[in-house]
Amino acid sequence: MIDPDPRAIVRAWNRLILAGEKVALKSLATGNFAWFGIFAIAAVCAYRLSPSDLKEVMLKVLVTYGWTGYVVAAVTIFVSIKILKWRENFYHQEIARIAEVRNAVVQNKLELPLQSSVQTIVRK
Amino acid sequence: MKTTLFLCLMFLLVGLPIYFLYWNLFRPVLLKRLKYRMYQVRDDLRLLLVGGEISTKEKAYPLVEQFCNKAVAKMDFVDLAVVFEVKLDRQSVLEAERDLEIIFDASPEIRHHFIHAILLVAGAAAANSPGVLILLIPFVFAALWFNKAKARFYGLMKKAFAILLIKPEPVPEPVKC
Repeated sequence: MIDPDPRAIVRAWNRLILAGEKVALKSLATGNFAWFGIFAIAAVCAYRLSPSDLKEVMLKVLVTYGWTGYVVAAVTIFVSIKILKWRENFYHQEIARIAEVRNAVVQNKLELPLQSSVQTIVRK
Repeated sequence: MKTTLFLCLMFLLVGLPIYFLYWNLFRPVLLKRLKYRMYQVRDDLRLLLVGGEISTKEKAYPLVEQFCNKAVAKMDFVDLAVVFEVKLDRQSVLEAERDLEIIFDASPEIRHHFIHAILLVAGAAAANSPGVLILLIPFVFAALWFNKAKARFYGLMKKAFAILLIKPEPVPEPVKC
């Protein structure tokens, strides 16, 4: 049997703790912890409920309140279209802005030599 | 138990499409918009230099331009967790403090553009971390009444600036075969 190096074990634990900390912070930042919590609660409830109660709840959600899915889908599609139109709009604005900047840069670059050439001519 | 399961399932039914809509459509579009605004800030700054409104010897100009470049590169994944997660050394903090002083002592145009850029990065960080935002918004607004909290926020801004601009990029470790 090979004895594991105790320092390697400590290092492995430290890396694991660090990784856990990073995952926790990211899940807190993104808000995914809320979904994880809801899934966990739903899973525990589904596990502990009797089959008849589970069937009753599922029927209530999918049949009685199933119409909310259509409302949510309609709102989602509407909002998606609005977002895509917004994206199209600011993309065109950006293209126009780039053209303006290009013009401004060209003008600024051309103005200096033109002025200097005029000054040179006057001096001559 | 039945009510809890019912509420959870209803929350999933209504919340998941909103979640997917946010992460897969709204956030990328918003980040693109913020990037375009950042390009605008950078271009305006360059035009000021080309037009001669800023001196070429201005110390703050390269700092702000570099900040804009790094912000554009990191906007997609910068979030509020990074500010709490990354530990900075004393030298980086001091460098950030010095650079911020240079920028805030510069001409009003540069200051204006820098503040605009900082706000855009803050917007990107907020868009990438809606969880923290929802949790912290009430505390942030309450805390802004106190000067100590304001000083702490300035410290956080300094840290974010140092992370974005000064902290050296981590060198990948060589792969051992």
